[in-house]
Amino acid sequence: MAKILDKQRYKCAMSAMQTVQAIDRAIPILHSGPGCAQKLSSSSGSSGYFSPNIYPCTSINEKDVVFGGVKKLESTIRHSLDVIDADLYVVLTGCIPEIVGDNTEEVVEGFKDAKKPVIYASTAGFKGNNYKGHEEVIDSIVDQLLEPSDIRVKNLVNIWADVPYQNEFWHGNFRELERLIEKLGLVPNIIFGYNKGLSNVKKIPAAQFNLLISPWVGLNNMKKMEQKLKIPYLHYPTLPIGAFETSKFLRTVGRYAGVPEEKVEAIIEEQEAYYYYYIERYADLFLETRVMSKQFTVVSDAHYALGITKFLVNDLGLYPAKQFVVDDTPKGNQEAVSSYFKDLNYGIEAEVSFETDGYKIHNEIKAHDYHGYPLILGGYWEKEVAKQTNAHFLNVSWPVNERLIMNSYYVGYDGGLKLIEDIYSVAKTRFN
Amino acid sequence: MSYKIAIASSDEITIDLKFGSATEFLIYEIKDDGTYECLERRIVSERVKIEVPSICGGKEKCSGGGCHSSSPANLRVDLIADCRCVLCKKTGDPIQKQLDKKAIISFDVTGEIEDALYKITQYFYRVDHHHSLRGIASRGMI
Repeated sequence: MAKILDKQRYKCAMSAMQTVQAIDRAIPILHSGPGCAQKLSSSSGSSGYFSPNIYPCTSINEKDVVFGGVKKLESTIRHSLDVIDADLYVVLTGCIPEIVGDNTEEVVEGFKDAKKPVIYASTAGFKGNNYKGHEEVIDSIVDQLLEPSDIRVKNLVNIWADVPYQNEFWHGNFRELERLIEKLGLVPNIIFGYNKGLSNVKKIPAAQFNLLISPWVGLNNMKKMEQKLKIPYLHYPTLPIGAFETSKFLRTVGRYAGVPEEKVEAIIEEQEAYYYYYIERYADLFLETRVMSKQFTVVSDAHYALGITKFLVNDLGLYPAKQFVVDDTPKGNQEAVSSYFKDLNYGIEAEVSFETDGYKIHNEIKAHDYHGYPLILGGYWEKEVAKQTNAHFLNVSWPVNERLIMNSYYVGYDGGLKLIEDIYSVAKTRFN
Repeated sequence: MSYKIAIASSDEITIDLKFGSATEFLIYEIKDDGTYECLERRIVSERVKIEVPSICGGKEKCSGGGCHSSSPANLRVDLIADCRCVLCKKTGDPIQKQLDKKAIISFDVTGEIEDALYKITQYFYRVDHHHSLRGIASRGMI
């Protein structure tokens, strides 16, 4: 039966142009019909030196379908190199050239002696969503730009976590993860965000290991880098939010990197003292806010659904209702991702549903008894069901419409406190 | 159903004329089974050349604004109104709009007529029969 597009949670693979833009001074060159960059118009934070409005595009039309668009692609790349001062050019192919069979690889190959690197990634919309597109771009960087390194810089760690712009907290999260890793005495290397760029991309092969903080996005990239660049990886599925998970995270990374246990414990002790100081100061608020929810539901990609669920159960003592993962997690990863939701403190297990149909999700939320006001953390679409169920609602995942996130973050000890602030700021609007 | 294609060519081998400077159009008929033949050479009459003067292909500098735009209905467009598409070296924007109104597709291409006809007929065949366009562009280009 035909389905109506409802409550969009992600974009097509070609939105990986955001991943490219998150790398400083890297620009996507679009081999697609006109308007493919338009889908980014609802995201915030993408203006600046390059913006979706100026991405070079072949703007292919009917003629290029019949006669092939490679000639146009060649001239678009050539002129981009002439006119746009960038450090890295990433050709992204859309649906049309992929269907009709333009040989993008061959055209890009012709630019291997260009003054700046030109690479390409196959990001046709029918291949999947922008989580897959993000992986494609990282893969093409590894495949076409990086070579195995003879040098291993001790303690250098590549950090991979949020999908830029899709996870709106990516700026702050990366910065905080960087800070946490630095505390362990390691040297973090991140390619996305402020003051990073191609120089960081070039450091990737020299790293001691890759650190992937994500339930499934990026796992394929880690495997590719292990194979091609011989960099081992540590997969930490849960985004560490709040004291419990962050301490666990520091211990896991510390152990893997060979940081002395006393050092890790000292850091954790110091950080937890700071964290629990605040929890203690505001304990009366947690106890006295009787309108606060007892059960919660997260409607988000696996990354945030998992991180927030663990935080709310392990740190805040809430009970999980059903959690909804809306990132179209590949079938092969679903079992592993659900198992992470079973690993909560106090023997609690969270039920998780991989569902992209907003209508069904909302019906399930409406049918569930939350034993009080529900707490719903999700995309802007959940505002409607939150209103219908008289819930506390916090917009944490894409689409983010009624709040602005610039450099704040939910990662780490501080991030946990920030999430508590945000949740209670909503709860406190209700008469207690 | 069979359809017609207009081609702006000076030598009947290559597509080498711009729409505005075309003095004649070759009219091909494409039959249901995909075979085609040249039906006629449609000469642009002297009247058209006088009434719709063009600097296309001439020595004068082209302003790029579309020299055919002054006329509400270009007589050259009327001349090929029974065709499904027109192949020429270049078509200006205003002309393209006029062609669009008559549902005539314009393809700006250069090269051999035979090559172009093969590709176009393949394309229309697939479109008309609701076949996928997968890989259609990968067999070389013009």
